[in-house]
Formats: sequence, C-alpha cells, structure tokens
Amino acid sequence: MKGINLGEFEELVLLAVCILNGEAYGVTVRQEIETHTGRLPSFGAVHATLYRLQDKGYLRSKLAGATEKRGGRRKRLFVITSAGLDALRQARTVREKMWSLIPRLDTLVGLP
Amino acid sequence: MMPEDPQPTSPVWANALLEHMCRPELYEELRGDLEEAFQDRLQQTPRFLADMWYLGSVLWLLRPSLLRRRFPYAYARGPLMWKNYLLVALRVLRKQRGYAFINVAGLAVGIACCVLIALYVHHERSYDTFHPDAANLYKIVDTYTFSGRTTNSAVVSAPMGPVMVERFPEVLSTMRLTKPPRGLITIDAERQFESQQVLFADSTFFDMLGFRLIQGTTETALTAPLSIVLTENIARTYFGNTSPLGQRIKLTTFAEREYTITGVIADPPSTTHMPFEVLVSFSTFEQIAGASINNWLAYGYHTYVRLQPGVAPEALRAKLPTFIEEHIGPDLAPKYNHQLLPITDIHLSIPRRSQLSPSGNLMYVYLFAAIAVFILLIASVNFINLTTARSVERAREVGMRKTLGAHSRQLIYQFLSESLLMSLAGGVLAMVLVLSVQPLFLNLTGFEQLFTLIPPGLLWGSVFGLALAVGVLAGAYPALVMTRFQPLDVLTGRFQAIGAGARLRKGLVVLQFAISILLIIGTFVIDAQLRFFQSHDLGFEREQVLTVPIRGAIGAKRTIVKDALLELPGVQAVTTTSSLPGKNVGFGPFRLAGGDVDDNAILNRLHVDADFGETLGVTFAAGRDFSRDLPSDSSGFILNEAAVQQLGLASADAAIGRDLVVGTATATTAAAATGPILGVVRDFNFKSLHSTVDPLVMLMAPQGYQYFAIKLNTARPTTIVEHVEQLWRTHEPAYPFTYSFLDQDFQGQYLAEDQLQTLFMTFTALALFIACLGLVGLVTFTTAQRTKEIGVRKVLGASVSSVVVLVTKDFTQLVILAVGLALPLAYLGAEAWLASFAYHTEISPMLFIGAGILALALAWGATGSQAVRAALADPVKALRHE
Repeated sequence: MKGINLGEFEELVLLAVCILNGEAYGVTVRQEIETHTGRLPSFGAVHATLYRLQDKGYLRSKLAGATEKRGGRRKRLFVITSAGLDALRQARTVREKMWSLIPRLDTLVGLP
Repeated sequence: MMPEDPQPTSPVWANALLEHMCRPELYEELRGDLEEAFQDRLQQTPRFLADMWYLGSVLWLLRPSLLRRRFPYAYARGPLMWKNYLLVALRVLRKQRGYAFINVAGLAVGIACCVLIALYVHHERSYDTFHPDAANLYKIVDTYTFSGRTTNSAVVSAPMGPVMVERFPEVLSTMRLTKPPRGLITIDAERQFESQQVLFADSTFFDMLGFRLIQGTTETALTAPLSIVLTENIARTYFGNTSPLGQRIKLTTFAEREYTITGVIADPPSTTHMPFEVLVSFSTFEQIAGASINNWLAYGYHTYVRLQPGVAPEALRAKLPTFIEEHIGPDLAPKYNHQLLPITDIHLSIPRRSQLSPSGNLMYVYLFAAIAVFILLIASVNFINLTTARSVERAREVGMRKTLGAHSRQLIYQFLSESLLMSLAGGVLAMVLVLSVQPLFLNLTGFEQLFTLIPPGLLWGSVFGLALAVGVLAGAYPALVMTRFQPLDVLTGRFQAIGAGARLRKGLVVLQFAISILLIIGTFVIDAQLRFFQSHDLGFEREQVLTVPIRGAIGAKRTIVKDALLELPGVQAVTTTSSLPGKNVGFGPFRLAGGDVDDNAILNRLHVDADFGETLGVTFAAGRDFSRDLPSDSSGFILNEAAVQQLGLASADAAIGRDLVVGTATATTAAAATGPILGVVRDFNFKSLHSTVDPLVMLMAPQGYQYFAIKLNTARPTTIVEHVEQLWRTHEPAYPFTYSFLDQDFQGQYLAEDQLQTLFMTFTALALFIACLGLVGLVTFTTAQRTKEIGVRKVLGASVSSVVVLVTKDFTQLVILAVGLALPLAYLGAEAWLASFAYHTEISPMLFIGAGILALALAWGATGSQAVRAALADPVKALRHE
C-alpha cells in the first residue's frame, strides 16, 4: 500500500466535499470548514488544496452553473472519487487504531 | 448598505492583477468564486473593508501552483520528469559503456591538463603580488651603453635611492638590497653552513615589502649594523624550538664578522623574485664597503622605491635623466637609461645582469597558456563530436518519443541531461586526476603547494563551470538537430542519419589532429635542439673536468694545493681561474695602446694561469699561451677572436705584439695597466649556446682566482673526488668542500629548455591520446552506420583489404589535411623559437615528414581493429535487418 500522506487541511477539505455532496466548490467548501472548525481558511489555501487533491486523483470536477451573483461566471464543482474515499478511510482507520492502543485514559502517564 | 444600490463591483485593479497573473484556464472559476464571496462580504462589512479583503485574497491566491505558466506544458517540466531524464541517461550510459568511458575520460584529461597549466601560468604571473602595497612599489633598473654594447642591469648605485627620497616628494621611501655571492654562517663549532641566499637589506625592508617577523620587531631588526635575521626554516634547523634572538653568530661574506640575531622571519613564498635565507642589516654593508657607498658609478645595489599612491611612474621617470646628470655629469649621463619597473612585472620582464632570481620567460608562459587552451579545445571538441555522433544513431528512439507525445523541449532536456551527466562526471574525474598528479606537478615546477595559488573554491568552481559549459554545448547541438526530425521519416527508415552534421564532425577531427601534429613537431624540434646543445663543439673540452670553488685558507695555499692535485692519479691537468664556462664572467674596459683614452671597449675578462689553455683544451688562432717559465707573461694578455674584432684589429696575427691597456672607468683588482697581447685563441663558448661568443680577454691576476678546474683522465671519477676532498680537509678544515663537473654545470644552463621538452612531450602525448580517442569513437560510429553498405559490398565480391581501405580512406584524408594545415604554422613557430638561440640546428624536412607519419600511424593503429572487424563482419548479419 502506497503511503497516503494526507495533510490535516487536505483531510478537512475532502470531508467538506463529501458533506456538501455535489454542491462543493470554493466558496461552499470554505464556509463548511468554518462552520466545523471555527476558522475561516484563506481563499488561496482552499483553492490550491482543491486543485492539488484533484491532481492526486482524490477529487474530480467540472464546470457548471453560472449565476448572476458571480457576474455570469461558471463555478467548478468538485466530487470525491473512490480513491479519495479510500484515502479518507485509511486515515480514519489509522487514527482509530492508534487511539485503541492507548492505555486507559485515567492511567495515562503524565509529567509530574 | 441599501438593497436598491446598484451592485458595487469588486476592485478593478485586484481583478486586473488576477487576470494577468493566474493561470488562464482557472481564471473564470476563481474570479467567479471571488465575486460571490465578495458579494457575501458586502452584506456584513463596509465596502472598504470588503475591498481590502478582496485584495488580500487575490494576493494570497498568487501562489506557484496557480500562477500563469510561461510554458503551457508545465507538467512536462516538473521534478518528476527530471527523474525520468536522469534514469534514461543512466541507462543509456550503462548500455554504451565503452563510448561513455571514452567520452568522460577524454574530457577529464583535457580539463585536468588545462587546470594544471592554468595554475602554472597563474603562478608565474602572480609573482610579488603578495606585497600589500605592490601597486606602488617599483624597482629602479638601468640600461647602459658603453662602447656600443648595451647592458640591461638589475642593479644601480647605492646613493640613488636615498637621494631620490630627498629630492622627489612623490617618492615616499626607498630600500636597497645587495647580494654577496655566498655567505658562510658559523653558529658554533658543529653548526655551520653556507648559504647562497644572503641579502643585505635596508631597515625599510619590512615596512616597504610587508614582510612580518615571527620573532623580533620590524622597526629595529635591521637598523643597527651587525644585525642578522634568519628565516624560520634555518632557525628551526639549527636552533630547534629555542628562540635564537640575541645570540651571536659569525657570518663571512666579504669578511668575517660577528652578528647578533635580531629576528626570525617566515620563509618567503615561491612567488617572490628575491628569495632569501638570511637577512643582514644594510648598515653593516656600509661599514664594509666604505667610501664606495657614495659612488654614483659603483653598481651592485638593488634599489626599490615606494611612490605616493596615484602618482604616475612615467612622470617621475621623465625627471630622471636630468636628475642623473646632476650627479654624474653631462658626459656620462647619456650612457645611462634608468626606468621604473613595477615590482609585479619583475619576474617576467627581460633578463637583467645581476638579477636576484632567474627570470620567467613571458613567451613560454603565453605558449603554455595557448597549449592549455588547445588541449581543452581538443577535449571539448571530442566530447561534442562523440555525443553528436551517438545521438544521431538514436534517431529511431527520438522518433518513438515524438510519436508518444514528447515535445521538442522535452527531447532537448533529455539529451542535455545525458551530456551533462557525462560532462559533470568528466569534471569530477578531472578533479581526481589533478589531485593525484599533484606531487609530480609540484616536483616539476618547484611550487610549494597547489592551493596557495588559487583558493580551492575558485578552482573547483571553474572546473565545474567548464564541465557544465562543455556539457551544455555538447548536448545542445544534437538536441537542436534531433528535434527537427520528422518522426514518420525516422521510423519508416527513410531517414538518412549518416550525413547529419558530418561536415562539422570532420572539421573538428581535422582541427584536433592539426593541433596534435603541431605539438608533435614542437617536441621534435625541441629534442633536436637539445641534442644539438649536447653535441655541438664548444671550442673547449668539457668532459671529465672537475671544478672546485676555492674557499677559505685554500686561497692562500693555492700553489701548494695545485701541485698536490697534480700528484693525484687520474689527474691530467689543473688550472686556477676566476670563473668557469657557464658562469658569470667579469668585464672591464680595455683599449689598444695609443688609442683614445675615452674610447674603451668593454670586454669580458677572465683571470687564468698558464695551465688554462691546456686544461680546457682551447685552440689558438695565433700567438701562444701563457708560459710559466716567462715571468713577464704575467702582464700579458690573450684575446679571443671576437675581442680582436671588437678592438678593430685586422686579423688575429695583427694583434700579436700589440699592447693592450686596461681602462680605468670600472677597474677592480687589475693587474698591470699595460701589457703585450701574447696570443689569440679561437672563439669558445664560455657562455651558453643561447648567445654568440662575446669578446674575451684573459690575463694572469692571482687575486681573482676562484676555482680549480681539474682535467681528469679516469674511469672512476668518484674515487678522485674522494682524494680531492681529503686533500681539501688537510688544508682547510672549516669551509665545506663542494665540487661539480663542468659538463653538468654547463648543461644546467639549458634547464629551461629541458623543462620545456618534458612538458611538451607530456602534452603532446595527452593531445594525441585525446585525439585518437575521438577518432576511435567516430570510426566506430561511422562503421556501424555503414554496416549495410559494407555488407552489400562484400556480397558483391569486395575483398577484406578493399573494405579496410574504404573505411580508413575517409579519415586518412582528414589526417593528411590536418598535416597540411599544421605544417606552415609549425614551421613558423619553430623558426621563431630557434632564432632565439645564437646557435641552433637547422629545421630538417625529416621532422615534418616524421610527424605526419607518426600521426597517420597512430590514427591507423587506433582505428585499425575497428576497420578490420568491420571488414570481417558477416554480410548476412549486416543485411538481415532489411
């Protein structure tokens, strides 16, 4: 299995795309992340990540839907691919596994 | 914000920026998203803040992944692609190991040579640049003319420097040096040595030249008389780790005196024109020299001046003639011509009488620089040639790549990375070569250490740069040519690769061989001239002559020692003289009796005894030799033919019986003032064959005797040397015994030419090696190209030999052409070089023919196996691919 190496922000963006389920594009992904994390990522960060995830094959996209608000310009909608879903699942599995290996929380050794 | 307001637009300039900078295909969606978000923002924040946010977001968007690409095919240039290029390059090289090795090796050798020569040239040209104030330091030199003979002198008179400081405000300070021929240093009974590098130096030595003392203070070390400073090497050898400061030692130069050690100085670097082992205060010399220190006509002092920064030396120089006239009078002044020589120019300027160290030869330095460029040229040409040839072979591969969608630019990078890989490997190999050859190189040139010349960073940086440049050039040509090919033509075999670039390649081969042949001829000529030096009749016998310098007590016991020497078995004759052939000979003014008092001829003078003629075997043209039995002979003279001519006499016979008078202008320890000319000897070369025979006068003047010359007749010279040494010790226990053989000493004058020969041979071999490498590679390539043609010919009945001729004919023509090109140049060069010697061999046509044959033979030898193999190849296999 090749290393997936999903960054934290990349993971958030992928999750947001899944949540938005077909309505995901720059503006909405940005808002979604703000809703759940409480911080509003910069425009550039979000868009660059979306394109990067697309290059990696985790997202697919196409141009659609012009609106008056956008001055008549189309938006690019992103959906997750099966590879993307795989990546998310793997990340999650790894996390859960590591969590399960932690001894009982009340017996965790801390610094004196 | 009222809903009825017309929709405010996003900032124009931010949009313009975005449109200009971001990738065009993404512009629409980015702009749209921004617009949407902007409108949302306007609902919450005032217009101004929204604008600010917009601008900020746009700026934040301008990151590399989103920026407009200058080249549309950006994906092909990412880091991943380079990995592929490298991989393919490595594969190619592994498959074609032989060719790769040839290429890399050839280039490495070429670069290594170039680097070494560059180091040498740099060394020669950087003499005396280490002085902190070098730009303002000048040496006063002189060119004087007496009786029609011009002499360039490195020394002037003692008062000149100090008076110039007083007289000219632009002269800030002066420093004088004088160098005795040798000095004997006695520390105590056990520690004693002789040094040929003793310098008497003014106290301004340290300040002017920037030398620092390891021990002692520079302000006072050379001020007081009888002060002496040792170099670190000497101090360590004789004093170990203890400080020698304050100790008293004895030094004998012109006389023995006791000195106090006032300092220890670091050994001077190899790039100084004034090497020294021991420094003595000049004030001491003033005591020794006495009144002559103020004589404006007594030469022998190296004088340096420091000028004010910004002063043009020509301005000062123009004032010198009047200045000189003030001090030596209008009669003598025109005979002198003083100049200001920048200190950094001293080493490579013309040789001057009494100079402190041998001059480098500027001509040779340029010659070597040219050779370096040549060799580098050959190697680079080779590299380019081979790379080009090979890449043409891969036309098919190029066609495939193009079909699969490779862009021209990608192909260019492909070839570039291959050639760069090889050229950089060559560069690395060159560095390894330079480092491993280092001890040999240092031995040959006498440099101390490689990295004192150039900082290592600069050195390796330039090697790298060279390799890079060659690699790019080599890769660029085939890349540019190849990418023009139409894939369809190539794949269907319609493509004729043979002709591509052939003319260029042939031209390059001719160039390589022409340069190599030039070097071969050069080597032959040098060798012929050196052999000439060895064999040419000098007019006296130089073999089996043992020479011993007279020192210490031996001087007074001369006659006893001489008689004792004659007793030794194997000794045929002994003479005492003031100088020997090959060494500096004194000179003085002479004229015929009855001639004008002011019209003296300056002739070389040699003090000999009655046995000189017999010992050295000179032949007489007229008259007779000195005779021991005639005491009146002690005031007589013997001239050589050149002197006869100089004095204006009609013939040798006419000279016999005439009286000669010793002039007084620069008389030293002359014997009688007037005397008869007893004999005329045939000219013999008492100086090297570099120059014609100067006029010479021989007289008997016992005070000037410096050497014994002992003619031997033995098969075992070493035993005789031991006997002589024993004899020496019985009479002179203190001074060390030294000796040498005349033929070796004489030959030593040709040291420069010897070195030249070694270097030439080395570089010729290297150039030939590289050129042949290149030829081998090319021939391999062309025969591979022509396998089909050869196959067809064989099928049609061609014999093996005719095929061989076919393959070799091409480059044989090239080599012959190269010979033709090189010959005129070589001839001119050889003529010019030989002309610099008064005696030289003639250039025989055999030299050129020999060089041409050698080149051809090597070319055939190198490519022979290839040719034969091609000729013997199975035609069936060759034609199978149709």
